[in-house]
Amino acid sequence: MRDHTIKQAGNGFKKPATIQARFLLLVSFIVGMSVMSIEIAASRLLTPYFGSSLYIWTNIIGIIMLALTIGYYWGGQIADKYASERLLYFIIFLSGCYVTLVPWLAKPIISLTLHLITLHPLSLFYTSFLAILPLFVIPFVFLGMVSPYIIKLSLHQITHIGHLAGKVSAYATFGSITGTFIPVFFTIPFLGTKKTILLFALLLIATALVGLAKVAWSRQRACKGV
Amino acid sequence: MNLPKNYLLLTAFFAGMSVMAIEMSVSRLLAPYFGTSLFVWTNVLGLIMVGLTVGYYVGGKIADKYASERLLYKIVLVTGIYLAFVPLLAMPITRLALRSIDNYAAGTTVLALLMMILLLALPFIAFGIFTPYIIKLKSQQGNTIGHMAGKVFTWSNMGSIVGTFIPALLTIPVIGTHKTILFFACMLMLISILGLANWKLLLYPILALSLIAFLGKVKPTPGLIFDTESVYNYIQVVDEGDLRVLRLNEGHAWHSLYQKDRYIFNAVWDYYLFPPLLNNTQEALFIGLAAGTAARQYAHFFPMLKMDGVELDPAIVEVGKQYFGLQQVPNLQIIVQDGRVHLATTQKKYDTILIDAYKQPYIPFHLTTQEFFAEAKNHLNKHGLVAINVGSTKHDAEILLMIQNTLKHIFKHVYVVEVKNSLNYLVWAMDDELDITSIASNHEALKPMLAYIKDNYREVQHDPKRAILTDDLAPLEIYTEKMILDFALAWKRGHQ
Repeated sequence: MRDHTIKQAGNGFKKPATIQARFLLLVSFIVGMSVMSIEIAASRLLTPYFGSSLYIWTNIIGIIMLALTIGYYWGGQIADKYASERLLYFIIFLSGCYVTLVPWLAKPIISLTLHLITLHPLSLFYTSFLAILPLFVIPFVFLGMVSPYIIKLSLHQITHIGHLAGKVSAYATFGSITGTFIPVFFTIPFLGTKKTILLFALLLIATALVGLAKVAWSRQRACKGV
Repeated sequence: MNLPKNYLLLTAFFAGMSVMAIEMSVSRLLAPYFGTSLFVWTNVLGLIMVGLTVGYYVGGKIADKYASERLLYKIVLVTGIYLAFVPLLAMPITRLALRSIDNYAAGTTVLALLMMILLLALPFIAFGIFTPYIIKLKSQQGNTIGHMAGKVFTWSNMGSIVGTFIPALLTIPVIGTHKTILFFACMLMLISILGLANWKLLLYPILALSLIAFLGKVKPTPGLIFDTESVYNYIQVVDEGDLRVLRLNEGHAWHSLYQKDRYIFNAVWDYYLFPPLLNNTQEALFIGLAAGTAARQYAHFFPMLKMDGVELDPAIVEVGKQYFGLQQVPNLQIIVQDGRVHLATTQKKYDTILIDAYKQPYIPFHLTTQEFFAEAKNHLNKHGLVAINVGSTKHDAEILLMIQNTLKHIFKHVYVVEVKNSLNYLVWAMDDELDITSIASNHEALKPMLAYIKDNYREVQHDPKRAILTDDLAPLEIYTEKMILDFALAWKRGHQ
């Protein structure tokens, strides 16, 4: 990406670096928002099957946080190897596609596990664990990759790493705030749980596509310019 | 002393742990006074995240200017010390809230809530500072950027997982919210003291622990005979005159009543005695047993009747056994489980299924949907019925109408009666038509209730314009909030 900026700068762009960095901050906002929204909708999606006991809540939070953690780790490693903006958007695209399937996958997957519930309270714990795992681990691993990836891509000068990391986290958290209020007050009560999940999945896909288009466009400009 | 390179990652772990642990504690600190409604919850979560966002931003800037490991540990230490004082600082504010709630001063209640949130959001600014600061310091150790940032996030998030589960499952139910906050405050102090390698500072966590001596009751209430924090609720047993009352969280609602040798309470529980008279119930299921008021009444008036009582919170069942005579109720099987999960996993059939489950101020949404009522109907014998207690401020509140309409979608006949002098409605649904004249009771004590229901019940008609609640779309919480707000505003206008 740094190569592009140099080429773009030679092409008469005034502040190409900031423009790209701004879009990446928007991406971290949208991803932060989607993570929170999908998590809230997930608990609503599962409650009719497993109830509102602590076991379910523990499983949802635990599994999602664990998936994000794995994502952070891999995201950082992959970013160092392939610092490619396209790969970042591709990861977001994949997670969006997976989440799109969740409203349809939920019932068949959960039905497979329901017969495991017995009177023993722990049975609810591992049954819901088995149901949540295939539904949410993969997309949340992908979404976890985004933050370290964006930090890597946006870094032009090592001296500003503190400010940059703070900024990326701030935008992601600001996204989380929005992602808490929108589903709780608007989309879950007025559109329903499934459409809420779908809405944020499509938002992820759209963000990824815009990002990919931007990369393609700036490459073309760069080539023509040279 | 030279710290190992990875000590920063350990700090990230502890910071991440504290963020979640304090966040979990904050909502439990507020619950006894302000409840657990969506309104309170979103305000708390919103302000915490604003705090974090500000912290991230500020932290990043400070880190680039003064990248010093010692400064980081000093900030951690100060945060720990502040947190240690939070339970004490909260006390005067909660006392203010208590007085204002008793005097119905809504403005003061909101003020107290705001003060509380400010007090609790402040440390989150510091928490926000840690992450970018650690990334900055870590970057000076010459790692590759992406991997390094990912590593800091990883450790901090692993801390968050631990910090979510330890308070929720362990420390809050065992040592309480106040000591949980103190515990995590001390952890922060220790990690920073180790980083600073200044052992004199160990005085701070020792002093902090001595603050335990100054901590008062969670919530001083006249007549309080027992209180405890369970994994779900703040539970109080209060004697009010001759009546023993079970209160949960902010304590606005009575969840169970008890008085020795008394079985009629002139409240919603009396109305639950109507279904057995109606269809000669042999097997009944209570969803939301609480401390077992209705079960005790049933055992008294219908000694042959067999009961299953489902309750989510095991601590409430224990309190019921200790203080509400639940131990002595014959023919009752207690099941600690979610009501809907019980129906999904049992083969049993009942004559009456009574739903009185509340997570104040809401009925859990999954106990109001058409899918749930259909499941309940599958567990009914011939002539069986489902009855539900709906808290509503008026007979045409959206929430009551939606639940009625959903029941009407599943059952042929739905009836409703307003509980006298109360904000409760009993709605019951069955496939038989109600033959009110044939219902009678030999018990003198039940006759006033029966006469009142005969005079005041109504049959509900299907309303094609009104929504039917589904597992996917059940806007129960929003309409409950709206109803409470309308009620409060009308009450205020009436008193001006």
